[in-house]
Amino acid sequence: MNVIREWRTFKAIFVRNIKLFTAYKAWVIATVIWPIPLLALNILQWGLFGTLGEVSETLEQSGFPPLAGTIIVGTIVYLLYNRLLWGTGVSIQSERWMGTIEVLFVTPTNKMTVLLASGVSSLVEASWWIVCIFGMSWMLFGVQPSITSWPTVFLCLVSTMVALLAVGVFFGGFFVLTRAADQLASGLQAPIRFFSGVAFPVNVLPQTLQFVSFVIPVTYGILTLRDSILSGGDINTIWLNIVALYAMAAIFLVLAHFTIKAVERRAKKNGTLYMF
Amino acid sequence: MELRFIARTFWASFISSLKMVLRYVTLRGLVAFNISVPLFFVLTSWVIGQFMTGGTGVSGFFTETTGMADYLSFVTIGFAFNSFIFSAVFGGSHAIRGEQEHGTAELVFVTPSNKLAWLLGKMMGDIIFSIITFFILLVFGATLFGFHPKAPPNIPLAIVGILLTMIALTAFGFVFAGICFTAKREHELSQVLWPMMVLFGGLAFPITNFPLWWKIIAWMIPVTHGAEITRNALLLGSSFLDHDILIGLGMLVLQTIILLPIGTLLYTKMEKAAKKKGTLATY
Repeated sequence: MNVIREWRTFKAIFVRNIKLFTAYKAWVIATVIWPIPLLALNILQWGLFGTLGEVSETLEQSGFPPLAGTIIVGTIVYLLYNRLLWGTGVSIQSERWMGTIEVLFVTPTNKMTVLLASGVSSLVEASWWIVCIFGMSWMLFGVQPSITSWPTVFLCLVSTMVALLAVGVFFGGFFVLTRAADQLASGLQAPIRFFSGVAFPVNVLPQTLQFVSFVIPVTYGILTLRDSILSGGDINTIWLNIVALYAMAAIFLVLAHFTIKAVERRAKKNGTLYMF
Repeated sequence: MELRFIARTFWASFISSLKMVLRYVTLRGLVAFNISVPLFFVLTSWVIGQFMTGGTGVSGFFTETTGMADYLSFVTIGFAFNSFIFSAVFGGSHAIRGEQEHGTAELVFVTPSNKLAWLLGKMMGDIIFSIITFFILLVFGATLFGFHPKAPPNIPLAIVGILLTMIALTAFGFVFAGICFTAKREHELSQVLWPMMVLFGGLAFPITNFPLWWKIIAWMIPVTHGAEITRNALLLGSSFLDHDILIGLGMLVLQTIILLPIGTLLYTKMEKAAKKKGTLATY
């Protein structure tokens, strides 16, 4: 592996994606507005069963953090996953739609580097609006954080980002196998939102459904961040979930490596790269 | 322009849209996207409900607020309306974006065909599919959670409510399609708009106790009235002559009368602006 060549590929894709993102003013504005109704929807779904104050009280009596904080942290991790699914997962498929996929695949670049660069640019893109959402939701819904260790919060955030990046890279390879990547990406949003406990604490799910929850990296991201931001958790209380996040990141990256190789071979052999 | 040509444009566009839908939306695709999104939202309400009601599924607060007995039937109908938002509001813009990405937008828009007929044809393919999805979702909801109406359902009223909602939403769709000529990134904009419609339209929860400003926004969105009429018709057995139903139907007719010409005009203006700037095909 030639590190300089990989770095040049990485940089080219990264800069291109950032330029693409900033070129669409509507999208830059949308990224800030978009999460607010989704966040409000996640919170107000509880409004079927009482006022938000009553609901929050019931949650706290059962040993969970207050409603707004629980949902805000869950929604932020979900949005991060969403951004990586679309930004990285659908990136190669987008090349197909734009008629440039053949050009990309006949170049001697490492496709994993292309996907990783797309993932990192999506993270950069997502980072600034995560700060905006956090600030706005703090003002709109009023959250009382209970942070005892800022390094732990930082570790949780970075670990979640690494795991979600790996998931995005995996789907990037996988989606090339199908011609319905956008349907699959959209179809994956709703079950992940449900099983990972974005709109409720995951322990509220029936036991059998929780088995599904604990094979999804988003669940661990939400658990660690809720614990470190809302319940004053430190490294001693979250380390197991952090280990799970890195283990999943490793598994998804290895899977991505083999998937992209298989995709490349199969698509070139069948001559179906350009078809959509 | 001759009506015959407009009809032919509409028909060609409609058939092409329908073929695209049928070509890509396999049974797996249908379940993965059209059904799973609203179904998992309903399941979320179910999980929350189980927790909040201690497993009984009976919420005094909900019954007091809506007059209905079963919150799952309420949210199932609400989230089933999601499919109409995606087809009628976003179907047209999605078609334009598709032409832009595939490099065929300029070819389509320099032909002397009626572009409104073309757009309507594209939207119709999605709308037909959304009607099917709507009924599948109701069947899913009834099978999984059961339907508990207080009175025999008034199906003709529900059908009228749904049809009027779709016509009014189509006007929204024209405006949105026009915006996409200049703003591009249709998918991202639709990601902003749909939760807003679900949120303000009260598809996921009753908005009876919400502040006035919220209700004013809700009143301006056709899905609010459509969902309310359909819920009242299917769950409370309301008739055409009920006061709330008459107001809802009147609002939908009024919105159609006001929004359709505005939507048409805006779409035409934005199409012209894109042609003038030479940005039709850029994305």
